[in-house]
Amino acid sequence: MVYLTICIPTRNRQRYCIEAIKAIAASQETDFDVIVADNSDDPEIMKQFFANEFSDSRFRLLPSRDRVLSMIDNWERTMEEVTGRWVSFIGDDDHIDPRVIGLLRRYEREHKDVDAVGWSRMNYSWPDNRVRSTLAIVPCAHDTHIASKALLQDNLYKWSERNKRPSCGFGIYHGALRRSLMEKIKRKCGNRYFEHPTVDFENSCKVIHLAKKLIYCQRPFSVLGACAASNSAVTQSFEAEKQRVQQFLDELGDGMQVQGDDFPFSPFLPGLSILSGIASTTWWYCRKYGLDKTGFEENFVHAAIDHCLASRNADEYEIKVAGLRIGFDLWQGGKWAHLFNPPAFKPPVSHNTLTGVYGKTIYLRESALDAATPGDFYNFAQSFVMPAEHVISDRRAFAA
Amino acid sequence: MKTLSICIPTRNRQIYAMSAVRAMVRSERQDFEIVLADNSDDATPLAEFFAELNDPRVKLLAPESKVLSMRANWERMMPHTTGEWVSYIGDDDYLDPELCEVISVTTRRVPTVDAISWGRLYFIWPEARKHREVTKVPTGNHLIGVDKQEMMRKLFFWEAASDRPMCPFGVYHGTVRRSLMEEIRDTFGGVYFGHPIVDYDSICRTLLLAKGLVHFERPMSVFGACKASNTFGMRDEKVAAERIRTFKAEMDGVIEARDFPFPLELGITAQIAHVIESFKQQQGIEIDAWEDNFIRACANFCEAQPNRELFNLKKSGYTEAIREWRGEAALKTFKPVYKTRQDLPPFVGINDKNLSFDMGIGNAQSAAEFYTVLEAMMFPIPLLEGRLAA
Repeated sequence: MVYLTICIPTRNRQRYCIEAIKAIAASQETDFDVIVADNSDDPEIMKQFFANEFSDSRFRLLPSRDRVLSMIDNWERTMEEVTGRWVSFIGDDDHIDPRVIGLLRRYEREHKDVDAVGWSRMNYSWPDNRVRSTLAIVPCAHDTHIASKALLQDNLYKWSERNKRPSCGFGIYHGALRRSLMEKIKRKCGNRYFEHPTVDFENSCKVIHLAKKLIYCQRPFSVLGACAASNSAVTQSFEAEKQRVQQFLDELGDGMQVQGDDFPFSPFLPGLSILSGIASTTWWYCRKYGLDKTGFEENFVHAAIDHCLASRNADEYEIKVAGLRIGFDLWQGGKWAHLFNPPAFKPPVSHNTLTGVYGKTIYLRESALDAATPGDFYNFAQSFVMPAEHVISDRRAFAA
Repeated sequence: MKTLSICIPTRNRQIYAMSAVRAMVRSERQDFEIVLADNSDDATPLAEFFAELNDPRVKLLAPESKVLSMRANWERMMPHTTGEWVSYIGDDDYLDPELCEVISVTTRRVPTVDAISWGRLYFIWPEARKHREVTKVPTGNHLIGVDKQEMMRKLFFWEAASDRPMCPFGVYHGTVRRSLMEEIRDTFGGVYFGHPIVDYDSICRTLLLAKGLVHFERPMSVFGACKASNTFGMRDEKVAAERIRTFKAEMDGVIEARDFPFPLELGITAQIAHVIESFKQQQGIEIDAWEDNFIRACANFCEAQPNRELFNLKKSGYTEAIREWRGEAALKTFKPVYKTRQDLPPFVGINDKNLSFDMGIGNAQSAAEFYTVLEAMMFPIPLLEGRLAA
């Protein structure tokens, strides 16, 4: 049994996935394995890669089946193959540093009952996904925090921060979970590892509910990549968003739906797919498992306003407001519609151009970067984030 | 009239100077010029480079019939500059022509400004780097009006000095308005640069006459240190002694101040002190109560030594000099303590308004490449005006 299993579900983005595999394979760590779960229309590309171009016993391919699986079913079959003591999922256009094993070992030594570990992630847009100016983001702090479940639940179930996206920081996606926690989730939640199509957020909901101890490391150990074909690329244009939502819905499993009937914020409304996707997931989870979400409605109104105000220009703002009005009019008989009063929009002076250090985070102009992949970018950023070995050994003393 | 003249005096390090110029002319700006003053033994490399470059923004002054002192090479450049502002850098350094934008934003806000400084960025060229080096970049991006009196205390009284006075104003890795440069020339004996150690001499002159000082927290230039540089030489005793010999052989004028028994071999603190003392002596500036601060700076210099052997060597050298200078009693302020911990790794990350990072970042092969890598993660100059307007 290896210590960590890294899972990479992938569909029709072989070029990115192969880069992700190569970058992880460059690691000297040995106590991990990687499952690449291919769900592509053409199974041959990944098969050929594994057969002829790549040889590393730490990696294993689950080839495409004869029919396309829904994303959730592909994740499910991947999880069934996991043997590691810990498990982590990343996207096929992402990167993870296997040295995170050292961090997990440290936290296990210090806290026997830890079963969920989160860490900061870097953000990186692939060169093909820079239609507009883009910024890479690198969090540079390196402290460790033991998370309060109550606070996390307030943030994620009730949206108490009232931001356009709730923060969580824990989950199987760009985080690590003890496999035993995933088994517990399966036992308690419909005999499946994953139930809802928004797999990352549904898992976060479960983890902050069912984990015994959650520990967060501020030092980044993975990179959220965004290639032109990625879900996160929807923020670049309404057209890209529409296509991605349609594709996502087309590939949902039988009987699956993204939004509940009682949460009428359609992901089809332009500019709202991410907001409504996340909100409908946390709403669904709380309702299904009877969790306290008191205050969600008011908080969500403010989060929706925040989402509108984060627009790039007045057109985008108007479109988002109009879409949300439809949702609020329909939701619970229009009960919350009177609260949805976004203030006048002031277009930002600049968008995605403010590079520099703000707080403990660095923003970098991506067009100036040499790094061509998330793995390259992660290596580049090693120059200015605390070296992993010092975080792993919990070093506190440094030369003046 | 150009906004800025970037002056690059060079001697026998042509490839470094070319690397900086090549990167600067990539800028689309037309409001700056580069003046290269070649003082090399062989005129060919830069002459060929200049012909091939064929950029009207670049001027080359060919070597004269005999090697000039560093001071004379700096001096001969000024008449060839046309910029309203002037800045000097070393040939293994780099300066971003976007400084023109900083100048323009600053002068609109503070019309009386005549000296501008900025945050510092240090780069040891890869061939001179023996091991991993961690360096710092200031993370702030404010334009700050600086009180002249405070700077005078920092320079002439060594107030809150590290191993050197904390005064960044001057023409070297700073920029000075032409009118101030001319005032400097007219005030100090008809020359722009008087002392063989030109950078600190320029700081003294600039500070004494400047009317408006503004500091931009974000770095706009890189202090490079290649293997042949004096900065690099300071890391090795033998090399340092050799460099001082060469420097003295090629200089004109006198480095040492009168009645100031600190051998130049003691390092940067002693050398800077000679410049400041010479300046004070020439100008008849007499001040009291600066000595203790200076002696503390000497202790700071000793404490910055990378190993105990050097620490002890410098400590005894400064002890002797201080005793000879002001007697045994003055030594009560001189209490250097060896603190260097070679067993501890350097801090990396953001702390105290600085980002500490590996100098090998982005595998930069030159000071210009280094700046380009860093530029992508510093405050964007085109946003400066907009932010001030907000």
